[in-house]
Amino acid sequence: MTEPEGVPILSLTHVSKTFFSGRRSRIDAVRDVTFHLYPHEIVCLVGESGSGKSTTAHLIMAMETSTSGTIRYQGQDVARLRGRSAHRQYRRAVQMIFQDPYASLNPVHTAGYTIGRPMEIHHSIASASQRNKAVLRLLRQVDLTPPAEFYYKLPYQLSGGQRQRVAIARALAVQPALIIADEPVSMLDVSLRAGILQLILQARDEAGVTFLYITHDLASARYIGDRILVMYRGIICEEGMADAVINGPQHPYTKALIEAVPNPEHLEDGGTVDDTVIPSHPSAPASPGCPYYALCPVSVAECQQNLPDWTELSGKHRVRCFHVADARHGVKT
Amino acid sequence: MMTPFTASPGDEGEALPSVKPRSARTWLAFVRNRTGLIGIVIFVGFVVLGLLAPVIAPGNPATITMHIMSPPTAHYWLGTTAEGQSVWSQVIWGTRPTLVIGFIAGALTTALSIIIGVGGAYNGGALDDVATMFSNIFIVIPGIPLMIVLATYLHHAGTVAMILVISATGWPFGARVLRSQTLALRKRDFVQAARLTGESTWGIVQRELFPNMISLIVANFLSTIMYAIGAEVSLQFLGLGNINTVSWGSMLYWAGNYQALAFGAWWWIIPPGICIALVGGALALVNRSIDEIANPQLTSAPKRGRLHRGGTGS
Repeated sequence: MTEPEGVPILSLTHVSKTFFSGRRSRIDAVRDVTFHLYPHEIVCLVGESGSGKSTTAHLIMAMETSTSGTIRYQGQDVARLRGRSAHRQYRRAVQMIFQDPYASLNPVHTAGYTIGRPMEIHHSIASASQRNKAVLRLLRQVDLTPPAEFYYKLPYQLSGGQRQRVAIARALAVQPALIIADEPVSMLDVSLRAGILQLILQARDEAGVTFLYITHDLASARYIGDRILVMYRGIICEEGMADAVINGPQHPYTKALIEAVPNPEHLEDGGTVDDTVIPSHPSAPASPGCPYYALCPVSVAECQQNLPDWTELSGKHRVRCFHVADARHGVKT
Repeated sequence: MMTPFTASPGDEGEALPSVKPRSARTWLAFVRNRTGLIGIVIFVGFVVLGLLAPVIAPGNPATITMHIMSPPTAHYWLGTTAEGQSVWSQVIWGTRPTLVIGFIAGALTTALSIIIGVGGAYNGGALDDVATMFSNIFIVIPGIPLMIVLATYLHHAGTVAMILVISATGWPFGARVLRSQTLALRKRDFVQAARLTGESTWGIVQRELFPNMISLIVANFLSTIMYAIGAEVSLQFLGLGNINTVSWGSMLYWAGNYQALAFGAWWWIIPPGICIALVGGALALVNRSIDEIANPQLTSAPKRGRLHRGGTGS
């Protein structure tokens, strides 16, 4: 995949989401997030649990409204969709695949109904017999064969991988331009993951769907992603082409994240698994600065005070870190 | 390996095999389930008895004769009352008002439960608060005493008044059960997924929530019929209904009034009692079988060798 170009299909500009619970407790789930998705690319949003990646998905799906900032789909502000038809158009254009295929399919509906219903809602295919054919074709495409048999299967008769294939077929049913996939393989057996990832790649290559692939797993992000956005406690701290981020991480958090992945090659060399695990819930108080400052080995006083701005590196690679910014300007830290 | 996403000509000829519609399979399941079958047979038997009353027991069941307090004979199969009325004839004709009131009051009560329970829970917010408050208030008011007060106020309640009294006191329990089920379902991913595919609110309630609650609603409906029949019989036994209509409840009222038991007239008391017990038992049996049928995971222990026949793994 070449570098992104052209007009973005989806743009998030300075998007923040704050949840309040009670008077004192305030959680900045998403802080000043800006990114763009270009047509036909797969962008991976990588982060640990609690990093705000699912909240970002919910904001894009208009399940939540942002506290500040704008989300634009093809130039149109998602928060300002007015009227039934505008909502319907957006629902048709942007679909979502849920994490848990055991919860995202209604236990009383057959696979055929689940996949055919979106077509019915959006009248994308007029006649019932044409719709049935389209459903059978989708079942075949997601490799549930023979499709005529799977058409009548209820969720409890399907395995987790098969269920997720039904969920993907449902998302593809109305030929969306963009699909938000919220950890679609994390609930599946490792042996089934490659098949689902393959399916996503195929949907991109052949149906031209753009994907925002949300995951906590760097390995699958590297496998599937054209670009990677690394998210930590509400902010995107590094973004760039997948290879550039994985091979040359710049942000201290990204570095720690990549080192935390057990590497079998090192084991063979007699090394051990690096156990410098990143504490998942550091007790650092909410500060206006970089959320990683308390754990960061190279943090400076400024890190706690201010949120660093983007430092552009080569290509589309950019980082939000004072340390990197200073290094590039030749200042010793 | 995988089928390309672009349509291939071979797909066009593909057609769905015909499969028995869902409803037909459900009925078949009922027949196969012995508990349900027994319940249905008994219940339908009483419905037929009520419908065929003019054929089975011709003549007015309230007709007074000279043969008073007669034990069962060849002519009076179940003996006679203190006024010489045929108990057989009264039991048969008494099926009608009992079942009609039970059915209509049950339906009305269930409808109220659905509207208040599901409506409140799905919409949430202030509407749910108000609905919950009303359910809570009504649930702590003891039903039978309230019914007695209302029925007394309505003065020998007719059929319509009886139905209204039973429905007004019977809805809160069902409403609470349906509310909690709605709350549990509302947050499930498949409801979110339906919303994200553009399903309307009514569409979600109708297509995603109701099918998951149908066993609960039907079970609730059947127990409400049982409750309604019990309530109706109690009210009539207490003389609060229209004591001049012939029903199982009013039979018991007159039997009590004439001290049937003291005169050893068991034939006057036992037949309506058994009928009430049979109808109640039949509804309970159907209720149990619905639970078994509605949860396919519980019952569909596959026959040997058919386990996951269609599953190919993925």
